[in-house]
Amino acid sequence: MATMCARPMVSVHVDGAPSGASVALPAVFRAPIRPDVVNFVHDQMSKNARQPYAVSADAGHQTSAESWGTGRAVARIPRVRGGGTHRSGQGAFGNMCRGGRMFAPTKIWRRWHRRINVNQKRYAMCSAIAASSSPALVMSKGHLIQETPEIPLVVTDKVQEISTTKEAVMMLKKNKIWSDILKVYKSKRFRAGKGKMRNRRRIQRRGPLIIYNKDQGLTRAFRNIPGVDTICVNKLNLLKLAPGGHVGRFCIWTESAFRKLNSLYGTWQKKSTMKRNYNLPMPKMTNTDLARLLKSREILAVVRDPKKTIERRKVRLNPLRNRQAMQHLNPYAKVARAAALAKEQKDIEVKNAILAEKKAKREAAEAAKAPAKKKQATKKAPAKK
Amino acid sequence: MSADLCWLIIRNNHAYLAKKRNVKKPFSTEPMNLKNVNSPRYNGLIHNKMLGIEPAPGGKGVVLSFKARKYQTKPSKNLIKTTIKSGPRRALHSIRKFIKGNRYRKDLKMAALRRASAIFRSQKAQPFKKIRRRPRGTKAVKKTE
Repeated sequence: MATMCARPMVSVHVDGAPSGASVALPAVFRAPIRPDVVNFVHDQMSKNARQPYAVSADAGHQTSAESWGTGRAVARIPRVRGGGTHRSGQGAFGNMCRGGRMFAPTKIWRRWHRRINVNQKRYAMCSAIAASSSPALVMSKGHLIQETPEIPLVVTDKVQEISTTKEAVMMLKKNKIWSDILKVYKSKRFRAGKGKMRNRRRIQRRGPLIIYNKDQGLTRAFRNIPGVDTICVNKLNLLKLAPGGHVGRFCIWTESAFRKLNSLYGTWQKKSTMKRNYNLPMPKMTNTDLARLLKSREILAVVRDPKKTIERRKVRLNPLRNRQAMQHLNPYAKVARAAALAKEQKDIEVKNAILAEKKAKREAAEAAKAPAKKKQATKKAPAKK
Repeated sequence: MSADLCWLIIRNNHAYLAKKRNVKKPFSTEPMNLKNVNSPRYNGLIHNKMLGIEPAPGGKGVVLSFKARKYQTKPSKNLIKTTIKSGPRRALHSIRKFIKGNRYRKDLKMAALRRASAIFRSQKAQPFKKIRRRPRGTKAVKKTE
């Protein structure tokens, strides 16, 4: 957890092992990380190395063409004068004409460069340096630092005196930085697109950045190793520390360069001595660990109790169709229903009784008629049985 | 840098992000991601406690890797790997015990178990399927004769 005050000791490494010396982490590494500021400043800064391009100033106008006007059954575009050549009578000057000037010819006085506020530049720089001390951010950028002994990686000043590439490679291998450079080797490929024909044929990944205090042969030793950049601590460059506008480049510091950072950027307690009137930017939040915040005493004191009961979805039963649901709402329903059923039964019995009576009467009447028709009575008798 | 801050910086843009066509939620190919999904919970780079489960190099068993609580700024010492060579049931049990016992990222328990089972299922010996083949060439001629 990076609070403004927590500043651990970083050990200086030699040949992959700690040399015994250690430096307190400079305050810059605890500066707020603002990828938006870095992106903006990087965007503006990368425009400053541009070379102007433009079309020739008189392109398309080196004719004395004039429009033929109306009445000649041709379009009114200015046409080249004279005769005896294909060119005569052809359209000129317009952007739609063959050999004419383009629309809005590009000019060299386009605003190519951008100025950036000094404070913004410094803010971006502090963010980029701070991000380079987080293993998560450096790994997210794609650098293979799984085997490096420590992040931020500080090496002894002996590295500044390396004069041959062989020694440089040995130093990288001993400090377990070589896998990042192997990745650069693997990433060498041709550019996609027209850049190939414009002297930008090959592209490769960026490797580690070595930041030194005094160049005693270091730049020449490391310059032939693909991907490696070297830079003096006095002239830190955002384009190198946050390539592509994204924070988290793998940086290797020499000890004296590392020690210089406090005087370059200041600590919040003390102003910077090398930059006039500058101190580190103030973060909006000193403690950004959300989990820690939520469990802190100050927040827990004002927060209500957590709701641990789980309310699950209740199936709603229709009381008109579900007897138990109706019973739950209206206990009298059972009684009413029983009464209704009883009444229905009774009604049925009464009805049956009436029907039986009627039937008996009807049969009695027919039996009375029977003596008049003897045959029918005898016929009926076996049927009755 | 807290995990939350790191997530906000890298959520849309990091070296292991893999966006695929017609897939809403991007994938993430960093080694310590249990679901290979781009999400703050499963991201394998930003937390100070991370869990990784990979197939063991021999083809049998599973490697449980986790980030030690110490040495957060020392990547070479941070990652601890243990190979679990026992059979699937035992291995799952030991993973479960590790997570529960050490209270190590309990929210990743199910994901870890599922990943381990998937690895074990892929390591199971495939049943030998006899392929019936029509005899060809000289053998075919012989048969007709």
